[in-house]
Amino acid sequence: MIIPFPGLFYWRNRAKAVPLFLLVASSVLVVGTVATLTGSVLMSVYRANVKPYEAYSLVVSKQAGIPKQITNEIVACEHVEEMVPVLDSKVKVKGLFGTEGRTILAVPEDRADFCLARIGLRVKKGRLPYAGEDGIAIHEEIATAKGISIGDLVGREVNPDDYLWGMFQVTGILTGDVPYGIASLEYFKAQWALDTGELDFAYLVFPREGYRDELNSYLAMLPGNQVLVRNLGTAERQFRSESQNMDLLLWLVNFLVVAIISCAMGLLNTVHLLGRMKEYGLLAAIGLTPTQLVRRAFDEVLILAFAGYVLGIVASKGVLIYIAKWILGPRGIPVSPMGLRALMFSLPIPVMLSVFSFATIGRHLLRLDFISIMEGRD
Amino acid sequence: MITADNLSLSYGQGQTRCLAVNAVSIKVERGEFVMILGPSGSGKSSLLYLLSGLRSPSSGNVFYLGRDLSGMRASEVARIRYECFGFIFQQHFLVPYLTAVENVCMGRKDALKYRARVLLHQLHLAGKEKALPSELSYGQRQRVAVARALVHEPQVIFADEPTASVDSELAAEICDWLRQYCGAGHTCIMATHDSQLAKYASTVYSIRDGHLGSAT
Repeated sequence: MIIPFPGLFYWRNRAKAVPLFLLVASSVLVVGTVATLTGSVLMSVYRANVKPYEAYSLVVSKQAGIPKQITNEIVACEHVEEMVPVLDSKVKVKGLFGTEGRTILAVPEDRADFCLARIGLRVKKGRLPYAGEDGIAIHEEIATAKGISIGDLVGREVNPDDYLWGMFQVTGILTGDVPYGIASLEYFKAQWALDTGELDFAYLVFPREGYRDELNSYLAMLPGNQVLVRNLGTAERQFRSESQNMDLLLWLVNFLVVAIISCAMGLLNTVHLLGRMKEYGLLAAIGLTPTQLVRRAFDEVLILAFAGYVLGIVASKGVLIYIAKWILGPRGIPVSPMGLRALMFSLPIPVMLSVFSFATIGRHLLRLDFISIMEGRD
Repeated sequence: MITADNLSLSYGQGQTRCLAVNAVSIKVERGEFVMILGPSGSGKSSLLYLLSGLRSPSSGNVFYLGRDLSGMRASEVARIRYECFGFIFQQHFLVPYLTAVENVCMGRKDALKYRARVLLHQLHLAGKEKALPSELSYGQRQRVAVARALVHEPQVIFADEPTASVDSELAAEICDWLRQYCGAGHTCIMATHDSQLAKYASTVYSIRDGHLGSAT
């Protein structure tokens, strides 16, 4: 390795390196933390509103119940494994940036275990509600967010924000990827104002393994004036349209941070470089080419920028772990500190400021008049 | 080893044109210690820069081992400077954040550190290997600069007024080291204004207004 090693200048001149280093690290910390928190919100919305459709598609009547003929058509489809009549409702929980809805599925008691297994849920504590019982099993995140446990009551009469008719007693706590609640369809129907007679209002349609796309294609052909089909594709489209603004805003903030930091760091680097003209002049005089000089200067910036980046990411992870464990976790708001979002959103910071510094320093070094420096005329 | 043929260097244009080196031809052989003597502004430094490939001549040619430096790409000349030439300047140009050993190896591979330590020892700087320039006296810094020029065992040393800012004792020491180095089959070309040092050189040229006098 050629002396001086890249980074040695900043290592031995820490007073000059620390402001640059902290500038990068703090920017990465802020961008990384915000990116992870917004990512957690999006992930939470995704888990609640999109992920369940990986397991099933929902067919909802646009009238007072799904006609028998359509039900029979769905049953006859070779890609259908199981059709479960359902009514759904929502309870509200506090999210990171406001309240979010969480779905409560009311299914027949004898199909509840099947639905749970397919959606990826299991009973952690207590039990599922019996047929006709005013009970509810809720996901642990909902329970934590609402501060309730087995035996407590939930419903519109307890909290007017919840769209849950009547009062339900919590019979069990669920765990798994999808933050759902399960209630008794028999009880829901008894409470429901709309009488659909023998017809069901909606179905969860579970595809045979590996036939989800085929089933969705089939369901798409059902008469649109009678039923509404919601599947993974529609859920994802809606999710994307709702989430793209958040990401756009984040990239915009990121761009501004990157631009400001790049300018500041480029300027500071240029100031440091101007103070080292004799060093670079000497290197040029003894035979290092302008390209080699630029490369050396660039390596230094790169090392500093990425060291700051690593510190920023580590600090961001620390802050996020703290937030997840002590602030948001106890409120039932899941945060994933170890996601790649922080890395992805903050990576442009070291990259762009290296490029910016390279552009400013490179220009100086490529035009370096080392003779003037050696003759003391600089 | 180094031959210059009708070498000229001019600055400016028209009325302001100034000829720093005027039609200089010189031949330097291996093992020679050539001294170019002249007052300030006589063109000795400019001639040194031309001979070492630091500057390109306005006209004429410089040959190193028969190869025309003026016909080479800048990167090729830089390579020759890096591998075959060593430089001592009037100022020491030590890098303030590097130790003495690191300054000696400046721009060169880490592996030369051992030789750098030996050189520092020979130049009476034993125990100062890890000292920063700010911890060395002016004379000690200039010795480090000499070691830096010698560390890669260059074929030719170019010394531009290396004794200008040091006392006469150190000036004599520096010249003595350079003479010893030439004795080992290397070459040295030194520009100086101090005629007292001429006794160390094997060949002395005087220069005035860019014109090189005959060898003595």
